[in-house]
Amino acid sequence: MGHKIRIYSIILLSAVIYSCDVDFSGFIRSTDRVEERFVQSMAYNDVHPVENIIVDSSHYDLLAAADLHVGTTINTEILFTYYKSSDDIALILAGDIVSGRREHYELFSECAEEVNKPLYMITGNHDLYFDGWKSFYELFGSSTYCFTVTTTDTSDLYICLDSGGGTLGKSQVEWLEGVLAQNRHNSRYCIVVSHVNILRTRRTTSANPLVEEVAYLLDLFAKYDVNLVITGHDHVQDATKIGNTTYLILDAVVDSNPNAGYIKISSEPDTLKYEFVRFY
Amino acid sequence: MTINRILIKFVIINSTEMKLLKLISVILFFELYLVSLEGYAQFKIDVFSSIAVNPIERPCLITAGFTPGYEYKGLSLDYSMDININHRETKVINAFAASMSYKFNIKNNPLKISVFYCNKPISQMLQIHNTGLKFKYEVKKWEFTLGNNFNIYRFTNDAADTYNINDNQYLVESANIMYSVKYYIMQPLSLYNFYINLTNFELFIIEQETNPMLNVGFIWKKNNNWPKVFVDYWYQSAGFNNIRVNYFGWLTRIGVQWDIK
Repeated sequence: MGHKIRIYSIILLSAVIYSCDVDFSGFIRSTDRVEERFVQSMAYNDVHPVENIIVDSSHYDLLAAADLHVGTTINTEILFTYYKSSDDIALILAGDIVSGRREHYELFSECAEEVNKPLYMITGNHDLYFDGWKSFYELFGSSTYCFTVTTTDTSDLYICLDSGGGTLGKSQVEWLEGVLAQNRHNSRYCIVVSHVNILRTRRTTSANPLVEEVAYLLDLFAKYDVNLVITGHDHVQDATKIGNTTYLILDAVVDSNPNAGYIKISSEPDTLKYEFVRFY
Repeated sequence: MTINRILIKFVIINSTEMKLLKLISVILFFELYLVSLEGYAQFKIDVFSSIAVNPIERPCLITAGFTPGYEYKGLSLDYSMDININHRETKVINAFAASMSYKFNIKNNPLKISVFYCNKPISQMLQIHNTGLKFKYEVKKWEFTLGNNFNIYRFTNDAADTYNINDNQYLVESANIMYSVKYYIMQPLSLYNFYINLTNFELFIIEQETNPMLNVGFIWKKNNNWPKVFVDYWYQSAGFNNIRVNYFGWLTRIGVQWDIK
């Protein structure tokens, strides 16, 4: 009897593990490494330069969202429908766009093709499950890049980082330093986008970057007067300011989240504003 | 929890570098007092050097430090200072830590309760303050440690002036669980020993509870009158609880410990 219970338990556990969208092998090993992804992202950027945006006014609005976890697409479609009909100049998706499975990448890609407006995407940890980086790279390309939004008066700098592995890695850190050193002084506002939330202002089971990396980023962002850091990962909205930098965590767009939403960023000549917006 | 946070803000946030030096002075004075009780107190000192390799400390961070400590009737006091050998242009002191502990037996096994404080300058702009409480229980070849700490990031007053940081000069992060499960291969009184340890903290770094480190080490002494030589190695990975582990870095510390009776 005990033997049968053990067998049934193993079968049940295997079925649960197989059916859920979590790649448990990631506890032990990752099929990709942040350093390798960074090299591939830079190679992609060389061949396909990131599209900068030019607007014919002194101000503009832009959207950012995170943690779509496509498998199902109800909230994703709400987000895209709103974006298509709005005056927002771009939509930034800050990681965990899909579950990592190839079929979910393809499903999301079909939805995204209908948008016909600028979409900027980076990877989150879930996007990398099930060897998902290969699909991300094939369909969307780079996960580390920067772009500018040029207004009639000035330009703003957006830096998108690959933190899906929980760390930026040595090469990406050096690249980030270089971008800030070269471009920050030419820009009015500087906005950094990364998937993994940097600060830990509430108890959570998700992993942040290690303390050494958190402290380094706080220091770097203060030094270069980064205005806004947009992250997801933790699924529940938060805005924390330390120094002159505001660190945002976005509500997850995933269908199971009753508080799903996005953030609207308004860049105006004198101020950079943000507003959390919920779908329901 | 709220009271804890208020206390932490009062004790830590108001501390400036001068206050830190005063704290060190008080500890040194207390140690001198313990020296006067030399008939009863046991003195120990660790001298060590460390190398850390990770994406932040490029190509590596080399430090040297020492940890003098006293034990008197189960009560012990330790403080540790770690000085940078390289990267001195950004910071000279790598970290300072102090702890006070009380040790007693439960079922013939020692339980040590410690309160501690650690200050780690990141640069001339930013410092990490850490304070907390931990319990260490030893059972034969096992050592279990459980504790709680608060991590505080604080911009220095100079940085606040330079970068016009008027508000939000510091941030107290959520309470963090500290843990360590350590297993020794040999019996505790052996002249040499190996150990393996799953933990989220070491002497000067306390990672978030979701970022465990693997620590292995070796200790050796020629006989019980000789100082102990130790080698410690920590492997740091990122993204464990995101189920996407990536290599982050490692830390090695080698040193000597004298127990002066």
